[in-house]
Amino acid sequence: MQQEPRAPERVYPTGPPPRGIAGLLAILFNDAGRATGSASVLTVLCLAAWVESLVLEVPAAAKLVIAAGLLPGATLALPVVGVLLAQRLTPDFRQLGGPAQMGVWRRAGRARAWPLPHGALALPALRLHAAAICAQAGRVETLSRGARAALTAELAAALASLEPGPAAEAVITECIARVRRWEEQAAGLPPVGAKLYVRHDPLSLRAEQVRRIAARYGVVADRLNYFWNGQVLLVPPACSYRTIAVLIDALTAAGVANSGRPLPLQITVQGALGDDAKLIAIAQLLASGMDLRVEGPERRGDEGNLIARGKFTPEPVGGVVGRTRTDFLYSLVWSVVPDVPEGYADQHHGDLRVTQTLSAALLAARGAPAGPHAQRLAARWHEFAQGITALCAEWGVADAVRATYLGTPFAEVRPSIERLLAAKAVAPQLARGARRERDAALAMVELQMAVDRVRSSGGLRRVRFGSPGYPAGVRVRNVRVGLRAVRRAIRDGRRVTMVSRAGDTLTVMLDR
Amino acid sequence: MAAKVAPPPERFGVTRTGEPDRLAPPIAVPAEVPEHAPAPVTPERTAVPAGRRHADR
Repeated sequence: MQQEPRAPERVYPTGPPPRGIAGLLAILFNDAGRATGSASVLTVLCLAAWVESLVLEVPAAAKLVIAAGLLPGATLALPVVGVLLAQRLTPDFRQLGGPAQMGVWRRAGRARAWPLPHGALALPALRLHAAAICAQAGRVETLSRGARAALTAELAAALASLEPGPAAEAVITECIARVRRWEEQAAGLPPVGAKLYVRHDPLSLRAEQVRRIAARYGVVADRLNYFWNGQVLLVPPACSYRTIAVLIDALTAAGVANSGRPLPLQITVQGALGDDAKLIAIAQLLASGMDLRVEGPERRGDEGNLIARGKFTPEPVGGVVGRTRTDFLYSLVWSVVPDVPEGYADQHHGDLRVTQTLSAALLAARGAPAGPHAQRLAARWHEFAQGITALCAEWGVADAVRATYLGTPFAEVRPSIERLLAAKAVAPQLARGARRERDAALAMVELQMAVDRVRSSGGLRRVRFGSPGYPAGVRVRNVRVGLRAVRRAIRDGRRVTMVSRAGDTLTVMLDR
Repeated sequence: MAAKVAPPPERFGVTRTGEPDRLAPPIAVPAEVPEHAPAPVTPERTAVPAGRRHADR
């Protein structure tokens, strides 16, 4: 895959919210219907002025100005300029709806440094604190678009009951720091985004209502050429799975989905992961605690199955990004199902975390980027791949894993997927085995990334490891030996409960 | 896609095969602590500060 480093600078800038005469014109000519209406009103007014100038006693110079200047200017030039200006509005703002757009326009003069999605100015909680948010714009502008959308959600919830003042400013500072921390902790992971299939009839009033809700968070709604029919929300990419998960939670809490059935979630990872990405999807499907059934893509001839290639160049996000994208199509958002079994309301958090983290190891195994850190991550991927493949072979579904999924039409791989799920349905041990392999790989990749980050920020000589409450069992070894022992413990099913660093010593605490 | 997880039991007539799939908490990048700090212990859950909706996951 081709990758290129990008500096963590301002990405996908949105610019200030539309304001002044230009902003008003852009809003008046925002879409075809409104542009037609605005042009018609302008034409009628100008024609009326012209006719009036002919009928009434008006100086000849004024008649000339109206006939040669006002009439063509207002009926031809203004609509053209308006339509051109409207093209510069951000896609999410264009879906905000007229009243909210006018509300944002009225406040835009006092919020020129507004760093969040323009539609966020229509949220009452944020509107009230616009000045305090603008004061911290510098700390927000470097965030990815997905992170800014998640920050909007965090601020809207945190500021809902606060009046402007020092307490609100402290909350704003804390929210920004939290989202920045999520994003920074994801350093080394490929950027991740999502598509949430809310599946409303795109022409319905409900879909229009959802478009306007999502636009307040900077999320665009679309409807055509996706894997499921109906309305889909395009969750913008961010550095961290946590950011995306929190944004999805906020969208569902804001009422974008009808309750009662889970929402398909397409997880998009930047980078060409290749066909081996199927192992991540298969592991998560097998590890699920529920019975599964298969539903194919609703678009005929679609090549989407468990995984698919992204069709467009992904949006830049700070850090190292690829020019390609791989999509995962196995996840569901359960939080909108009222009687979802305990432990599944946040299933998408786990799916996003596993997908993004193991994708980093897979990218390393595919040689991008190169270096010792990548080699160590690649080793973790090979262990995971061998583990899942051996597990499936043990349960008689090796061929289902060997099948090529990427770029293969769904109908061709459907038998493989059904064999996997049928094997799982009759053998709970298969689910337990998949969880064991997945959990071990996840812990080892996360630990490896944490260790390498510590290494890069200073010397690391020793590893201290053991279980809390058993000081006698805590051992100190050099890094290589210590980490090998920790990895062995993880492979034996023990979980890492905490990692800390003091000087050149890394402490890894394990459960008993 | 693809494979879709069946809806919950009873209501939709689908049986579960086992316990919910829970992940261990993510391994965070360790923060620097003083060289002679006491041995770390597993922290207990504390109250969520005012104004925060989510735990810092």
